[in-house]
Amino acid sequence: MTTDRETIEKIIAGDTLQFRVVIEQYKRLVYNIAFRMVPNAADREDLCQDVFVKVYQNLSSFQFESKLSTWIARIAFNTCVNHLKKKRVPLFHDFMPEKVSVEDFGDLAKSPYEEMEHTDIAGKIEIEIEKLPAVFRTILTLFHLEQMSYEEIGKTMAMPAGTVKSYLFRARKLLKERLTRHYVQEELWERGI
Amino acid sequence: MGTRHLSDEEIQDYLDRQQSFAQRKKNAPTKLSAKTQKELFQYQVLYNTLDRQPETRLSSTFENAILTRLSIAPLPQTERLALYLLLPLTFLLVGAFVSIYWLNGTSAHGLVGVGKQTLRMFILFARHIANAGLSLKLIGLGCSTMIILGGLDNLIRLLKGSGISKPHF
Repeated sequence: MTTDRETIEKIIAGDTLQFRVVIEQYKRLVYNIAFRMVPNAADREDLCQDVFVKVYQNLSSFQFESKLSTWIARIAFNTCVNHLKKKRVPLFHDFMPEKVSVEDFGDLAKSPYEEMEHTDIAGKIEIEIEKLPAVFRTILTLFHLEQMSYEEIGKTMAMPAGTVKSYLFRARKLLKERLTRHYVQEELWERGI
Repeated sequence: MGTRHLSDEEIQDYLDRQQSFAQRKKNAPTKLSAKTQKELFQYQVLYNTLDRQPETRLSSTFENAILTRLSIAPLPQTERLALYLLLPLTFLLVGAFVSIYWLNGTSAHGLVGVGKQTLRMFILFARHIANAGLSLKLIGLGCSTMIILGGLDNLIRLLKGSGISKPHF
């Protein structure tokens, strides 16, 4: 099996088609970060493309001091942060635009079936996640979906591991409190599955 | 025997150490207070949802779109170096050929001939300019100067190291 190092060396040596392997391997990671950070679904694919263009352009500067996934995640995070700054979306404040369309939530309600699913607790949690600050959403994504450690998340987001842990705990506590406050009557949430 | 109460941080710490939802349920601490049990369960539900992968909604042409963009995007540093080295040399060579062709009205024959003619280019250039009409002199002089200066400019940029932009993101 080809390692990340071998793949990168091939790309730098001129075998640019090998870059497709990198894209296929890490597109889910990049998408997950963009999905959680960028509220407008229409912007996400372009941002994901921008991330991989930057990865390619800077590949020769990658020194293998961290995992390739951490390095790519950092580029994705910085790209999304820059995008949010341009759009004047605060990174640390609750995000819930006044005029929000269904499309803005991307993976949420689309079809009648999905609308039905949307009424369950998972759908409600998704809605509450969307209301969290972008930084909290990103930490939740990297920890729960990418199984990154506090240290890896810290490297990705340029913050100490202790801060990552603190934000992660605060994000989950915030989610739990909001869900308890808003959906206190929800049988599933109160009793169990 | 009394029941145990866990703080919010202790509950999250405990759940973070468990690998899966099943493990979280199976290894859940016993003899907890009713309040802790309820909070633990709520966190288990929350963790289960957070662990779910969202559907990746990228177009089927995602990879191709990036590769297409990269074909016009700046090349990696090593390739850029080769390009900046070859570019001025190519400019100089093309400039020499154009000048020779313009001065002699014939194409060059053979590598040795090209070399000789390139070396004699400036002598011929000066001689023909002296014999040509004024307008032709100006056009030929302008074109040749632009091509050669373009090549030299690229060469100087390369030597100064300013021709290769530093990566940033």
